[in-house]
Amino acid sequence: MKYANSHWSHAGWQPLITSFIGALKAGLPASGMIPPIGKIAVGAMWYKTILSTSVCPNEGSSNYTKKPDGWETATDSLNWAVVLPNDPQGMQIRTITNGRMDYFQGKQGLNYGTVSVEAGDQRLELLDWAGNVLLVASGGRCVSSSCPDCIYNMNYQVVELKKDTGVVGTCPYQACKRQVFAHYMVSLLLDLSNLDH
Amino acid sequence: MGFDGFALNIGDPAQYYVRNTFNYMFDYARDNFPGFKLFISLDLWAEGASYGHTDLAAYHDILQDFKGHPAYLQGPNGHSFVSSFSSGGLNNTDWEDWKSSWANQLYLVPDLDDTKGYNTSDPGWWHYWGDVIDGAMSWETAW
Repeated sequence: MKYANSHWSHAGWQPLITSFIGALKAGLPASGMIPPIGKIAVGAMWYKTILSTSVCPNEGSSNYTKKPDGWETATDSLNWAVVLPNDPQGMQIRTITNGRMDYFQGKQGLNYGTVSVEAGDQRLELLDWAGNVLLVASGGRCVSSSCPDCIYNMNYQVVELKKDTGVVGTCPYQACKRQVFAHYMVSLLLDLSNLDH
Repeated sequence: MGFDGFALNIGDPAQYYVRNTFNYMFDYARDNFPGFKLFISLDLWAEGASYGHTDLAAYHDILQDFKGHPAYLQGPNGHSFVSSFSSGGLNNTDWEDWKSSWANQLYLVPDLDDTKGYNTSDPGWWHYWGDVIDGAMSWETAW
């Protein structure tokens, strides 16, 4: 397991948690969650960066190459939550997974949902009534159908909604090249040793 | 943000920085934020990965020394709150014995997500674990 660090920061959840704690301690329901003063909204999207069909090399050769406990309960999902003000004035939430768009009508307080995720770039947007983009969560790692970290890395990319609407996602290498090569070498050596028999 | 406390998840209690960090954090919380509480989580998964086996006894000293600290979280039963990351492969009687070694003066809320039936909240799971634990928790909520 890789713990949260600079590439896997979970800080994008903090504004949501702040809003949640505020409502909880005030005895309010989820519709009573509010953005902090001076902000249109707070929110984030989160997703794991491999699919349930992803296959990683050398599975089970160590504690860290095993599938983590509960792996089978995971779904291939793009998850999001957005807290909107008292009068959302026709705001919409849009998720974009590998170019596929889904829309959700905004309501006061906590909005949240899940869409099935596709390999590729992930993006969450808050739109005004006219369809103008107000806030964007983007720039997180892409979802891969392969195994870029060479382990079943189930950590989430947590990407916060921000004003910078120009950010686009990044797609790093897709395959676990180093270990694939090592695996190939082992196979080759086994093949060579079999030639002796 | 409004937090009231958090878990200190420990994979290897023998590391020197564990006690140093605990000393600093517990005293800081007590002196500056008396309402802010901390509790120990036994990271038996990481411990097993580094030691090669689960050893609850390895946590004895750190728990003994901090469970009564004013900044240590006390559960609803008035006893020190202890959590975990994984069951460490231990069975219910292992945990029972461990709790007994503390004269049952604990409020035990482990993360048993590696145990059979946990993810489906199976009645058999509750039958097996229900009398041993005071509560259940999970570190994974976003899959």
